[in-house]
Amino acid sequence: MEGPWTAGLVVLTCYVAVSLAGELTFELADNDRQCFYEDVDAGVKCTLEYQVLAGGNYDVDVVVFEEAKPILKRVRSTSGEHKWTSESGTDVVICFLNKFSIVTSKKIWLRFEMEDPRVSPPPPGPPVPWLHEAATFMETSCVTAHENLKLVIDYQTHFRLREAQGRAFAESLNERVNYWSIAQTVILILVGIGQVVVLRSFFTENKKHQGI
Amino acid sequence: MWPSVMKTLLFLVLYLSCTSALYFHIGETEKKCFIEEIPDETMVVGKYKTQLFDKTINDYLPSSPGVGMHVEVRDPDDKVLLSKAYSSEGRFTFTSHTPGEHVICLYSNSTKWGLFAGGKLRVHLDIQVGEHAIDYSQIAAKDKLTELQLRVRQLLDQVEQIQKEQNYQRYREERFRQTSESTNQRVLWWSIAQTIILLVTGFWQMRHLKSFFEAKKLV
Repeated sequence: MEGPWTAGLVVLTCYVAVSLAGELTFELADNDRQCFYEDVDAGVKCTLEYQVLAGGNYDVDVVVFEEAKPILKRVRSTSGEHKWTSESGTDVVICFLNKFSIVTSKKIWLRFEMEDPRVSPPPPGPPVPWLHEAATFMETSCVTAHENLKLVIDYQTHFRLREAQGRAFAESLNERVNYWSIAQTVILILVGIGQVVVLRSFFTENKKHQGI
Repeated sequence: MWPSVMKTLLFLVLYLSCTSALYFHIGETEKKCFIEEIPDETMVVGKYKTQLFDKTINDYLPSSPGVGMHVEVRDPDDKVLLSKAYSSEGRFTFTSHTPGEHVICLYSNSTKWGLFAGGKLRVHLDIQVGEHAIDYSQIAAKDKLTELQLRVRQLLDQVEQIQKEQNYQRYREERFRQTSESTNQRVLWWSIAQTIILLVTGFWQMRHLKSFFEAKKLV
């Protein structure tokens, strides 16, 4: 019994350790910058995903460094994904800059994933290789369901972010419509009264001049 | 049934996999906030670890327990859900009661370290939400579950999380729709109001000027 269990453990271990992900959402104030760091071993595959969820024109400058060498530089980007393989094995620096914005703060979501290809991923073929003797239909189904549900959660996350972006836009549109309409109405009334006042002043002055 | 070696190893693995996190620097009086938009009744687990810069070896070292962090969590209604001071390393947990944006803020409690660390503290932070926050190794150890039972348990948690998220999605879609409808209404009524004002102003201008000219005997 010990044999297959331990073998299974090793595979499970690798499986869990293969990919590590960190997800954060934060608010970036105007004219500010925020950097995140991660110690990455050489040869590790990195994936960075980001999206601006709210604020201004939904844009931010993104810079990724590895040992002072820029890997990624995007100006006024709304969302994106970048994959690269670490070469130096030092710190990876991910910076978000909002220096170009004077008034609006931005809400940014990011996900950083690391995958070590040297740690073997679960071998392909029939799932649950660790209990090949005891691998019942139940177990294979469980693993498949688990994988699919993970995908569902991933899709859901992206949908949620998109929806959040759309909602933020709709809410700002709603407010803008209101304020612009109020401003326009005020302008309309002022211009209407102003026109009459100006026109009257023309004729009153003319009369005065004629009188003199 | 469940070999102890495996249990410890599994625990170790899960533990290790959770400790790897992005880190950032925090100033002496700085407050760093992170937002989690989550459904209701969802568990969030946050883990952090602080490090101070050591000049003698020119690297960051785990800071002394005296260096603490204050964690504050606010729910969408801006009510404080959690406000607690922790030491240099900590783990905080909270469960949401209202769906929406929860703000997690971290700030340091002391000014002692500012003197020798150049005013910067390194903070490793990892926030796990919902099903990810559940520590299965602990459950396995406590309930004596087999591999299969543990897997099924995980599936159930995942499904529950997805269901909660869908529910929240519905709620947000409703809000989105309300906003859109309100925008639509506003555009409609404002334009009607503005057209009426335009006509009334024009009419008033003409009448006023006519009587004015007549009074001045210009026409």
